[in-house]
Amino acid sequence: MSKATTLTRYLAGIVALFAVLLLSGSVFSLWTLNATIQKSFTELNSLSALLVSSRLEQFFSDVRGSISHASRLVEKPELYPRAQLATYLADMVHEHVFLDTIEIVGPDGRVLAVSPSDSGRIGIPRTGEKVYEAVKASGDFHWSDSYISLQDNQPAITCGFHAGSHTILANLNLSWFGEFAASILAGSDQNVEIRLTDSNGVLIHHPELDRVQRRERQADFTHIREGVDAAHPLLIAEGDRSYLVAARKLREPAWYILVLYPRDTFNASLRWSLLSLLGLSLVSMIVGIMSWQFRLHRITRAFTAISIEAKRISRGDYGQLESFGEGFYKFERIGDSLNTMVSAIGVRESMLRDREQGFRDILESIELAAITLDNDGIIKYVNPYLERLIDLPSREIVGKSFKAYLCGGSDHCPFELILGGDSPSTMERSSIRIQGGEERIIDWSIVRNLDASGMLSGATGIGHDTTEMVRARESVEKSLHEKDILLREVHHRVKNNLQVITSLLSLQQADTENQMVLGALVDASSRIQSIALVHELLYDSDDFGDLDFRKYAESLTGHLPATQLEPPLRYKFNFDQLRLSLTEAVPCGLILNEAITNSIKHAFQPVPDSAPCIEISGSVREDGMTRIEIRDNGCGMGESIDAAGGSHLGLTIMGGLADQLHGSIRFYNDGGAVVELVFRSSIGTL
Amino acid sequence: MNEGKLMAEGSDWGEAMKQGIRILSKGLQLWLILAITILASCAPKPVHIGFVGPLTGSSAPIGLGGRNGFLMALGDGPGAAPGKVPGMTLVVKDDHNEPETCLETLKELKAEGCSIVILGTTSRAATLALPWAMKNDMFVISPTISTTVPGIDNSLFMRINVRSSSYGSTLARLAMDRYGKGRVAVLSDMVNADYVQSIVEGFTTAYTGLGGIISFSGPFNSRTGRPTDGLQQTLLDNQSDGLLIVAASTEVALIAKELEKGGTKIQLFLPPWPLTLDLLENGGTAVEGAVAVSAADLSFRTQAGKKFKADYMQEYGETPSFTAMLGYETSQVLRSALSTGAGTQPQQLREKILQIGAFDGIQGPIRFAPDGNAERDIFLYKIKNGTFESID
Repeated sequence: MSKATTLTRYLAGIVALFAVLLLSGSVFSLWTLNATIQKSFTELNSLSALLVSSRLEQFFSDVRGSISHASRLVEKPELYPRAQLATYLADMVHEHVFLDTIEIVGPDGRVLAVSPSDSGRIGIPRTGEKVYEAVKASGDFHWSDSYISLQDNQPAITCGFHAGSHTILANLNLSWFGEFAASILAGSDQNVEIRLTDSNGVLIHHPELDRVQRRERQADFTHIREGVDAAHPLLIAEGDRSYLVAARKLREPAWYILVLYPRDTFNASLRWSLLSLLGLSLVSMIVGIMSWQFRLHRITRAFTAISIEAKRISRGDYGQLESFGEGFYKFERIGDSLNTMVSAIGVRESMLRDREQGFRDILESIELAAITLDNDGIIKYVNPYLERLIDLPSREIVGKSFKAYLCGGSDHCPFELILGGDSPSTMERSSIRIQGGEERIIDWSIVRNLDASGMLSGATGIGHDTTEMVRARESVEKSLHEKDILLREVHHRVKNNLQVITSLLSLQQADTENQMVLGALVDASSRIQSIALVHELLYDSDDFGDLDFRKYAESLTGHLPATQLEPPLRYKFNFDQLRLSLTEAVPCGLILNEAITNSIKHAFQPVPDSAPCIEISGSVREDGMTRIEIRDNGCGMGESIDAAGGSHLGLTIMGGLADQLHGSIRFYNDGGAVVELVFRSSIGTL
Repeated sequence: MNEGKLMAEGSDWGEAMKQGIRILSKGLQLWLILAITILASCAPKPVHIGFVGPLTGSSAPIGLGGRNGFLMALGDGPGAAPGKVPGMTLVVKDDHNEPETCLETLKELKAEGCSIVILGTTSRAATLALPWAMKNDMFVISPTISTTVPGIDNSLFMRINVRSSSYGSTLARLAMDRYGKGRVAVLSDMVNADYVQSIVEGFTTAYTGLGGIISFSGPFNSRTGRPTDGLQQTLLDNQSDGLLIVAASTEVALIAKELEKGGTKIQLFLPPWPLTLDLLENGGTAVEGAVAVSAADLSFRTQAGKKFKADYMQEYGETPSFTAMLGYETSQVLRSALSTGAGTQPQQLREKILQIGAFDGIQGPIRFAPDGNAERDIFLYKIKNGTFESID
């Protein structure tokens, strides 16, 4: 459920983001539109203002030209007689419709001539008047402030030109400007206004004439004056209305042309654009939301179908999905993939089921105990064999602690190592108590069980009932032990008997003075001693089958009679851990005894320069033959010596013994006498 | 996963969206109601103030000056008078110096919700309007009206200007005592008959009382003609040594120029009516030496007067006339009273002004008598070098 909620929020978030982006885009578009329109408006109105100002400047230029022309009337009296001045002025007034009156003021400051004709004004002094004095002071052209003419209640201005000693004053009407402004605006938006103000902001032209006549000032004029020719549109407030204004200042007189557009009219136009855009955005948003809702519903249905299919699959129904995906290509592809996956799962589950059944059959039929425990050591499953072994039905075993069946208390459970998580598998032996109190010894092979998430869920053990085998082994071992004792006793007694024989021979040696007999007795005693030594070493060893021949050699040399050689005789042993069986050790011991005895007797007569030494070597050659070599550094043997014949008894014995071993013996000299025995041992090296 | 819940997800989402829109809509409505309530409770009640005066025609300088001073005082510029009246709206109307028009404009103002009017017009124009205003519960305060308008009890009227009869008597003493003129002629433009008569009567009474002789009295109507024809001869024939002209600045300038044209040198005496800027600009040397009286300090001797002149010139680009000064002071008085929270109820406002009693005008203190007339000094001037020079 939480996943579905997250999806809904996620998709709702996308819709919200879409709406925000749409609205932001709309606002940005409006802002851009507004800025563009205002800029265009400003440029257009600035153009209008430029046009109007150009016309006005042209007008004032024409006025200057006319007044300049009038100055010639007084500068060239020879051409323009004074008496005709009024006529000339009347012609000028007639010619220039903007001229209300024109006066020529003489050097004394009094009116010299006037048009239209007004005899009352001739001689009127103009000294001290602001305009007259300003013209005189300027010495050139001068423009008065605007005023309202009392004659026609229209805005007017007085222009003066000081020409030498005379001054020309002309009152100009500006009524033409209204018509001109109207012609400029003809065909354009009726909301556009053109206004004209003087340098103080007093209105000279306004669509509402009474505001001009009442000498009203342009609202927010300071702002306008500061923003003349500005690149950005001026926004001014006038009462409860506001206007976008383009303003331009004339060079002379310093008047201002204003082109105004009501802000509310502008806003109304913009509002329509805004409403249209917002309406479009809103409709798009609603359509988008509805579309999203519809799609979301379809997506939800698709996910619902997934849920249903998942539940069906979890029940083991692996049939194909139907009409999955709600028409979404991607979802349909997911449906195809799911179908493939479900088919594969079905096949694998079938295989697993078969395999599980196979394993179960094995477990049910094998003559081995099988048991499954959970993590707490509670029995979850026992196979029939174990049922039979314990002699209880499965239902009475399952659910109980395995430790309850262990003999010797519950201190050690064979499953503990596995259930403790210390090892994935182990082999343990345990004794279980079966019905009737009998103990059975089971050798367990235990493996851990993991659940779907890979966590330890218990352990399964396969046990082999080794009770009979263990008991048989124990019996055999006992029997062997008894035989060992007996054999040891036999060897001991043989050795003791041989010792008795040796002792008897020693007694015999004391009773005879015949050196040959004595020698024979000594030799016989020595030979018997060598045989007894074999038995002694055998019963002292753990294994009665063979003995370490090096140890034997070392013991044998210790039992030989001491020599009177100077320097003393030294033995040297070179063995590769050679072991020999009893049947091999006795002949080898006799050969060793004979060879050493011969060397002691004959090799060191005379004593060699170097220290007398007998070197005994034993090894197994690469061909598997055992080689025993007895070497001395004495004088060596005489010629024609071989093991098969000759007069030497010792050599004969050694030859016979070698035959007994199915080996060969060789006698030769190599820096001393060398006896080399080679035979195939039944044991070899250790 | 809960299958049923999952299947309901699509419709849940739609319901959630609808619920969200409903909550949003209700929240918006609540917010709007709250905003409107707060704005309605916080918004100040609008105060509509009307101004009526001659803004066109030959008397326009009187109305325009008063209007400009009035607007500057109530505006937000540097020349604004102290005190702030939130929500104030100004309605300016032209009465063309005609009593009927003036009456109509007052009716219009009343209909537009104005119960406070500054009547910056001439005394003549106010003759119909002022009684009507008193009857219709409008508070009127005037910077220009100096005559006693018949038929009103001043219960809702106050004036900043000095009574016109005082001007007449002051001019009489000036002519007789200071300039020693014993035979003064009088030219009066009857287009402003009440004012003219009040001045002339005040002058005549005081002047003859001082032993002076009115050498000639020439009433005229500037709308029908000017008394310039034969004027010089008339003055000469009556041995006039002074001339009191009770007319607007345009007429005074024309008469003075006619006299200068004829070479007649005679001392001119002028009441406040023509003392506007265009008298100096258009009168030129012809009005040089003329003596005038006014309730306004046209030489701006006080610190406040100097500041006012500077602010006015910055605002309008010209020297303020006496009506501009009186118009400004009228606004000062009104603004002071309104900013104390006196309310716009006419009677309460008048009482508040009387309760305050003294105001710091730009040319000195202004005190109001219980009858609503200002008690203030009259200033004496002589036109010299194109300016009003004090001769106090």
